[in-house]
Amino acid sequence: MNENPSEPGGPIETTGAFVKWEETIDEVPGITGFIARASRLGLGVAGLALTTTVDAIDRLGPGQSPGGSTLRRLPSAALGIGLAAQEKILGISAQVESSAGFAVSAARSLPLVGNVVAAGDRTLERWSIRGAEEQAGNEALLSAFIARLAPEIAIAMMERLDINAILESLPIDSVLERVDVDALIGRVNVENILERVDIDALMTRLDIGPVAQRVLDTVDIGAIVRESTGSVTGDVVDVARVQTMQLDSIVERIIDTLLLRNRRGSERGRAHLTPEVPSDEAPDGRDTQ
Amino acid sequence: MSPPAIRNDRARALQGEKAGIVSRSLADLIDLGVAEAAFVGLLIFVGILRFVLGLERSIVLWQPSASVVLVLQLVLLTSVFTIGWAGAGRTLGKGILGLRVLSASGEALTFPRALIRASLCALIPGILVFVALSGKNRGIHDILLRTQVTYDWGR
Repeated sequence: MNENPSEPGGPIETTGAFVKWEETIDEVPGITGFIARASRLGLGVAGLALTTTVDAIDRLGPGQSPGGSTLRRLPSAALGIGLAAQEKILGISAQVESSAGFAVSAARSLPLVGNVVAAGDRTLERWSIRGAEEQAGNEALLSAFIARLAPEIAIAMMERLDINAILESLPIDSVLERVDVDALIGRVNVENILERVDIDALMTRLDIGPVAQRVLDTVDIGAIVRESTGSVTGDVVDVARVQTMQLDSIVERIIDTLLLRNRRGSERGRAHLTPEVPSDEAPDGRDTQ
Repeated sequence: MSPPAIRNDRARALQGEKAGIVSRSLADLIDLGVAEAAFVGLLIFVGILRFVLGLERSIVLWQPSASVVLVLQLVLLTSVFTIGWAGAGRTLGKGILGLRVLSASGEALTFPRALIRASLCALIPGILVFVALSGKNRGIHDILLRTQVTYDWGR
């Protein structure tokens, strides 16, 4: 089987089924050939219309219509009837054409009449040639005219169209309300997009300088540095002060002990005699004061 | 921007209390360093001045006599103390250690009282020892001039 569906005899993919298409009618010249082609086209169109109609009826109530099978056979049956009628018509047409040809041939063989028929043939041939030539010229002229006219029409239509009015008349909000943006984003393959992006090329196109300058203009780096260093310095100073306070209390207690002095009753003594384990000795080593 | 609160509980509890000997001695040492730096600066300045005035052929440190050195250092140290205590109540050293010099009633020192106190501290460095011995963290100069040095981190 020929795998190319565009060639006669090859498989033609339709809606899920393969239909073998073959050239069933030979190209026949003359009136009979014209009738054959026209009838084949008509039968095809009628068949498609019937098939579509029956499918639509079947979708309305699938499996519920008692005459469903009958309906489904209808397009094929109609096509069969049409083909039979086509054969009859083509047979009659071929007979008529053959008879006419025979009559013309017979007339040509008769004296005098034959001359008239031959003269008529030549005249018809001349007119036919001239008509074909004129027709070719007319077709070229018409094509050129249409080629020139089409852009003019398009431009004129565009000029007459009020794009803003059309856009305003569009129910954008209702359309957007129906759009599930999350689902839409979910369908986007970001990885695939990122793989296609040439980051290096993008970076070379970016002028980083002004961007960085704008960022630096908006950020007060001096204030950040001052704040951070000030905070660190303040913490260090606080630690030193607390250590000095502890030394104060240690020295005082030593001297009090040496001088046999009791300061436990005073408020200051209580403050100094709080547990020596400083609260700033946090497990993580950070100062907590 | 207001300074952050004191996070150490004991340090917070001791604010306003009289400072001990260690804090005060360290603060005075820092102030002594400031005074010495000022003294070196003065030697350099006078050396340049002597070169400008033609008293020296090149710029060299001024080398005064020992008595002049002693007097200058005393004057500078007294100046450092006085300027600090009469104004904000703290010199650089006391500011670093979080101390403040106040009157016994908790007010800032007047200039004369600050000057007298500074002179005493500069002339008698060992005067601070009595702070530890007093039992109330008050030196002789504090008792005489009715002053006190307290923990005050300014927060």
